Amino acid sequence: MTAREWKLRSFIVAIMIVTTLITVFLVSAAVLLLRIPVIEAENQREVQLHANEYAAHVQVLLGGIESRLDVLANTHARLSPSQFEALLEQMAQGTRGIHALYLVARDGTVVAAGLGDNVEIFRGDILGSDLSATPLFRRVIDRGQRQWSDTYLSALSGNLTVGLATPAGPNHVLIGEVPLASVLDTVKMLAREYAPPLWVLDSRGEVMIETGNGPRAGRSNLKGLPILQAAGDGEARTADLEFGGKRYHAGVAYSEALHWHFVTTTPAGLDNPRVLSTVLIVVAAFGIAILVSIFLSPTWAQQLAAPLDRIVAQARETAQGGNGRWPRGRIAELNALSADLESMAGALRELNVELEHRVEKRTQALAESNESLSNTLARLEQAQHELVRAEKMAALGGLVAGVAHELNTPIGNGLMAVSTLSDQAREFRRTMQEGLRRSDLEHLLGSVEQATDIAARNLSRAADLVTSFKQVAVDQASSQRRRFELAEVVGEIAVTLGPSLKRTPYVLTTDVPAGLALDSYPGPLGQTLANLINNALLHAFDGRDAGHVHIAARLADDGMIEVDVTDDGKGIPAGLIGRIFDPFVTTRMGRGGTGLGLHIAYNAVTHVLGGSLQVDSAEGQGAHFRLRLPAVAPAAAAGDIHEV
Amino acid sequence: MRLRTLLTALLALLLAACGADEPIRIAFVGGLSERTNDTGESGRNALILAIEQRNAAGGINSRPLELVVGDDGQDPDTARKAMSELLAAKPEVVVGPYTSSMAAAVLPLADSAGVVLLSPVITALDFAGKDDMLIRLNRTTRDNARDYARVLLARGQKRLAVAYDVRNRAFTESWLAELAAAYEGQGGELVARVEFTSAANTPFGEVAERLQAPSPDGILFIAAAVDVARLAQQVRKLSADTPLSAVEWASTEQLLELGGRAVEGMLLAQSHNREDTSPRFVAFRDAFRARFQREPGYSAIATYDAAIVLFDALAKRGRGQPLKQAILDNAPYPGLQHEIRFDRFGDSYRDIFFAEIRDGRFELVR
Repeated sequence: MTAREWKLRSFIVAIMIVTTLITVFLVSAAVLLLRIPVIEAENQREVQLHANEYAAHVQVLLGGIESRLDVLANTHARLSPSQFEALLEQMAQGTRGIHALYLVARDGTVVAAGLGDNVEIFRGDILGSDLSATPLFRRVIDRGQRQWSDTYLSALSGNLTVGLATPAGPNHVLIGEVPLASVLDTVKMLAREYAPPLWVLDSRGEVMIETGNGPRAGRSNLKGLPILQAAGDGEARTADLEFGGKRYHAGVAYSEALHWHFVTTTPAGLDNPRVLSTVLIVVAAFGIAILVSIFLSPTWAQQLAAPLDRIVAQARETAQGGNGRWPRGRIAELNALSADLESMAGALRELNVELEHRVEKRTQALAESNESLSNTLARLEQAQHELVRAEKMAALGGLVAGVAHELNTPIGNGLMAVSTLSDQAREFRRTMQEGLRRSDLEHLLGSVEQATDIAARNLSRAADLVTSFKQVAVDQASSQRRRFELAEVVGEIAVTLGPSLKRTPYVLTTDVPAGLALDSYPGPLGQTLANLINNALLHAFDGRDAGHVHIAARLADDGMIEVDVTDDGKGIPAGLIGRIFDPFVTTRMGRGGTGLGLHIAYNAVTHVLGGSLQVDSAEGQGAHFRLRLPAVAPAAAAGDIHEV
Repeated sequence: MRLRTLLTALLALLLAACGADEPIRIAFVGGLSERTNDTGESGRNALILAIEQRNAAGGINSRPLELVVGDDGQDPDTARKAMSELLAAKPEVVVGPYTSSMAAAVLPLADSAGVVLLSPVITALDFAGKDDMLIRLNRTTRDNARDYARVLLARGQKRLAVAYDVRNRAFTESWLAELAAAYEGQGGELVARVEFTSAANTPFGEVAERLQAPSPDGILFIAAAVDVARLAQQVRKLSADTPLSAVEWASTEQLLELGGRAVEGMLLAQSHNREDTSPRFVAFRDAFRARFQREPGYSAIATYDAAIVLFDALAKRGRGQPLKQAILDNAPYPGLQHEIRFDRFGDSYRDIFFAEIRDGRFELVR
């Protein structure tokens, strides 16, 4: 895995954005974590305060009604029934919030009523009605003190009403009907001033009113809510409320007189405007930070990257040999870098010039030595050619010397016979002057016959030698191509080398069957064979008393002609055998060996005759050279042939 | 590996949360603000109780139940408005309404929305035998009127004066027609038919005078409890001993509270046996009392029965099966006091019990 390569500007932008995000995220999280619980606690306190206020206001309102009813009940004993009824009437009509007043006998029968204007028509219906079964009446009778009722349907109006009842003397109960609407109007009025939504629940948990944009309970019964059960003991308590799948902070206040619950709510969590606005502010800050970082960081990155880019550009220009001005900006480190690079570039340039000088000098020196080496090589090649030619000439010279020596004997013998004959002739002439006798003539004839016979035999031998030599010389000097018998060439070589071998203890034998005909170059072949034999004589048998070189030939299965030259000499060392065909390889350097014999033989076989030459030898076990020659040599340029 | 486990767990949690959070919404429509609010409120309370109990037991197939409440105000326009608001909340079912007039007003809305209207108590014959979205748990006015005619005649009341509330005309007129047919068919005579409108300014004294004028053998009120109580109070001022009776609609606790001594001896039919001592009924009654500090009235019991039907059908409903079909297919249901069956129109039947008010209590008439 290789790390991705970034552009500096992108990298700076990314770093700036990431840094901004992390910072803003941490700050936002801290703000939210610290601030939201505080807001929630504040909200919680606030709704509780509001609930208490609602309860207190309603208590004040109802307290006024209670005190009026108490006053009325107290006056009952002191007034006549008609006076009291008139008072009831006056109170019912003049007191806001009281809708009707009944004086009820202990058996539940309504004995007097004070009715508001709009219900006056029911007076006949009301008087004499039986209220004995109503829960409110029964509670007052049971407890003997002032009681508020739950909401109920007014028997008078059929509307939802709360009733207040108080004993009026020992035999009567005074009941006031307070229409729910008037209480609730008061609550609604308050609710307009105080923001939190409100539920007013009666003692059974029925929702009598809900205000504002709070959770919609509708016409429901909320007695089952945990907060009401917790607050059932009358103690105000603040708690969270789950309603309709949402969470609210709820304040609960309980009205002792009415047994009502006032429940104020404010949404909890994100539904709460304060929490929401806090979150939105944080989110907005987050968003603005992101936008600012997204829009500004490229500029900042540009500010930072541009001088660096200029330095980089200058560095590239300098690297390509340019010589511009190194930039300076407002960032100290970059200026330092630029300055350092500038001095470094200067130093580099000087070094470069120096290096070029040095290289030039070296190149010149190398060129010179190269030229001298080339010259030397040319001279060496020339020397090699000269040596090869000299070697060939030397071989020819040796041959001539041998032949000359060989000719010496027959020619000497002939000369001696002729000179003896000449002596005999002079003797015969002198004798003839003295007198010729038959015996003298016969003696002369005998001498002539003998002398001519000797001369003829020796001259014949000399002629043979010359013929043989002539062929070898012609072949080796001219390298002419012709058809010949292998046996002939081998025989001529054997004959040619015969005089040299006679003076050594070594023996050359041949086993070349007749009929191995070649269309090839007899000169190079003969020279090859002569070189191989000479190699054996000079190296293989060096320091030995006896040695045997054997030449054998045969026709191979593939049509090639194989000529084996074997000796029983001391063999070729393993370290030398790989290079014996290389020029100037010799063990007798300085003792007459040129190191060219086998090289010439190898070149002749491979280049002229078109065959191959292999050697097989181990130290102490003689050597075996094998020539494989095609019956027809490949056509070769005459120049090549003369080179060899 | 750990990351994948974590992601899987998160995903599972998310799915579980989604599944668990999607409540089954049940709507309620009934009269809660007006004069007949005792039947509506009582029914609503029974539904609240049933839902609270069911949610405490894990809801239906792990989904909680959620109640949305609408008040029909005993006024057709208010009822239609309330119904539209309820239907906008996409409920599975609307329980209610509790009076036949309101059923007539809201049934077209339920039909067009394809939402089942499950009414525990309405009896008007108009709604019986129709393949609509209304499913009724109660018997019909015809059944009730016939039973009343039989019982009243058996009590020697051959001349009957009747007061009926035209605010719930669909019910009261149906009831009256059925009564007239049955009563007169068996030799009785309706000597007065007094209509009135249940309202705050109704002169009940006048209604009582018109009822009492032909000196009937008995007076029957076809009205809700609050009106029956007030009429009885007025009648009793005119005559201490004319036998009074009222239709099952008035048979609530409120009648006892508001009527006091005036309703003593009144004969009413009830769609349930108040004196039932079976453990199931007693458990329900006690739970209702504890939760609402009230006695469960007939509408509470009928609504609780409706909830039993509804919850059972919702739990057993097949995927994609319409609720009405599920309700009809999975019958019978174990109601509080009887086995609930439906015909193919979604109409049902239940027994009726006649009771008299004695000492401020309903007592069964044997």
